[in-house]
Amino acid sequence: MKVSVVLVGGLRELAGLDGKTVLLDDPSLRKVADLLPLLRLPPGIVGLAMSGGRQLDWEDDLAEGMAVTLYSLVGGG
Amino acid sequence: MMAGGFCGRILDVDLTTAQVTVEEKDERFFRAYGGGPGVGLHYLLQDVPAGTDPLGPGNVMVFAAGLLTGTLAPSVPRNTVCALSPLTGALGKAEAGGWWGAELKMAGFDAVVVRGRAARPVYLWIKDGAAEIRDAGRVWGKDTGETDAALKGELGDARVRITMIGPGGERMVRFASIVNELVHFNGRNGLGAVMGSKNLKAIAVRGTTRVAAADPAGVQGLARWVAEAAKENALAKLLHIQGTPATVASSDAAGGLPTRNWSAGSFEEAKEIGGDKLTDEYLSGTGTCFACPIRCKRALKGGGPLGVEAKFGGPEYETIAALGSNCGVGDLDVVCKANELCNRLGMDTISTGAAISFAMQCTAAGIIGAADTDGRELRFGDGRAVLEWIGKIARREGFGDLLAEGARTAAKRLGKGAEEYVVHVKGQEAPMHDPRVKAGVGLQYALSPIGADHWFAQHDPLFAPGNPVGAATGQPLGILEGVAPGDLTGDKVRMVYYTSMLNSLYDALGVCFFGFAPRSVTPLNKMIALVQAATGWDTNLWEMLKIGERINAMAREFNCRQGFGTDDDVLPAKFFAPLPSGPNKGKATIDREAFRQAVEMYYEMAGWPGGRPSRGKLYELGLGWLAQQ
Repeated sequence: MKVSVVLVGGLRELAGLDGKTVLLDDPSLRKVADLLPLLRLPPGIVGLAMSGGRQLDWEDDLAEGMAVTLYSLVGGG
Repeated sequence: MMAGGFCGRILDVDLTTAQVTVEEKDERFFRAYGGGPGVGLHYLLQDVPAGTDPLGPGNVMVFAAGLLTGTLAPSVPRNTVCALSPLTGALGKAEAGGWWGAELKMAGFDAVVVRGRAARPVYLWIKDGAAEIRDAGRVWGKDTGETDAALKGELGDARVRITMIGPGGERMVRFASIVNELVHFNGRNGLGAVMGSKNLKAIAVRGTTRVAAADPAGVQGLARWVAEAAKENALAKLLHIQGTPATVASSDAAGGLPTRNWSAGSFEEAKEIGGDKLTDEYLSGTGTCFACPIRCKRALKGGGPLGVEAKFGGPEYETIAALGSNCGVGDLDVVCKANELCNRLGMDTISTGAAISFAMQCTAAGIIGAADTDGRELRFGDGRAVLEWIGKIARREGFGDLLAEGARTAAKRLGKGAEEYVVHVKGQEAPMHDPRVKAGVGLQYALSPIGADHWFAQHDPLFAPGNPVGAATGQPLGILEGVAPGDLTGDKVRMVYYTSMLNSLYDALGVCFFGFAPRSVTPLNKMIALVQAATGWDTNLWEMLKIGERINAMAREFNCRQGFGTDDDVLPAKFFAPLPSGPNKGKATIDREAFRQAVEMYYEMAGWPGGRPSRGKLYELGLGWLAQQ
């Protein structure tokens, strides 16, 4: 399955990627939570996943060609 | 200096009589109250009776370092300032990072108590166990950058650490901040105005004695562990990479980014003021605080079209939202300049932004017009106006004089329905977190003793179901199940209650939330190990959390004595309306009755029947002296 992922709020640097958008093409992709190990992002540090203006749950199914944006979990100060 | 992380000495300064004395405190005092707000409240409860004028000589200020501050314990740099707040009339309390707290300990004092009022501007000079009151006439009227440079020059030592007020504090702007090293702030509650009312411009400190730990090797070993772990810990790395400005994007996506005085939760120019742009185009690197390996402070290149001065630091999330999106401003140059001006003039960025965005909404609603605001309407999106009005508030010029009283008072005086547009609790303008997307933050806002505050407890997303970050911290606290961000059941109240104890403990120790669990690298068991190594106490998490619970009860008792009660533990009406934007537009909101019941349940958990600590609870916390008063 092919899914494009936009990494926001320091996640790009954390994943060690150059671009903010990464195209994942992996047969193991089924659910939103599956994105994290492929991006080498540990669970718990992504605070929000969105697609098409809709908030995603980790157990939501991914779809072919889906565009997902991941936001880091930080906070104010 | 005692070999337990603390000095056992409190400096007591009466500015009216110019007397400086030292009070010695034994180990039991610090074991009961820790440091920071515990020490501050101990004095305020004894010496600030009901009816005290916050800006009169009867108010008492306490500048207290954390219990572990100044030791080599990592990410424990903080100091607390306490006094009766001129913004709320309740407890005033604000924490700051930096080096000042550590320097105070190295100079031989755990805290400084300031009473009375000097006849003319003065500053306090503390060096290696001695203190003197000095004339500050030469720096009165100067901004914080000028003051810092002038006093360091006068004292002949660039390593002096200075906490000070700017012109905002001198003119008693009710949300004036206290600034140390130009980039660290006791920002909230208008404590800079209290310094101004006392004619106290600054406290300069220099100490050359290392703060002795009971087990120095133990502290050093733990510090090495944290430094190594921080290199791998994802949350710590995120704080280093982008810091709090990363929150702009996630808040915006969730529909929780305060925009145009909270009239929207998504901002069409969020990317223009977000963490990605700030990091990529404006930063020169990162700064840090005493003994902290995280390095989360934003350091600016400076310059640009508005000539931003880098020495005043870069904006954090609260500043970006308060002076950016909430004013409808999508220009990061303006936000960085506004941040500089607030820091230079000594004013809290959240309340300053809130006052200006409130005025902008009053303009939009036709309550005020160009005639009120120097001939030019104060409109959302006008970045130049934001910069101009920061200066006018600090100088109390024209309409700026009214805004300098705080948005709640300004609204009352304006009338015409203006009060509807102030988003505050107990008179303190709300931080930039919408409780409609994290309900526990709403409980914090309502229950915090200092008015709307986003650090009274931990935030909901960390403890959401399935989040391993919250689970790791929650388990030692007995929180074994996650709770959804929108939840307001007893499970959420329990999470807020336990973490409100934890956060007050952190303040007492001097811990920065960005160095410790659940937000960062140091877990609770290492935190306890640090306390054991620094103090030599055979202690545990239970005893430490009791310090936090004790502080919360003391703060509550202080506010009750000042006339606050359950009617003040409320949220602005705006937060009970549906979300105006984002993925949950029109849906997610806080149910008024569920919220009231949650507040009531917090009282029950705390042992505060009717909103006041019971006699039994005070005794249970070792506060029998309060029950007897």
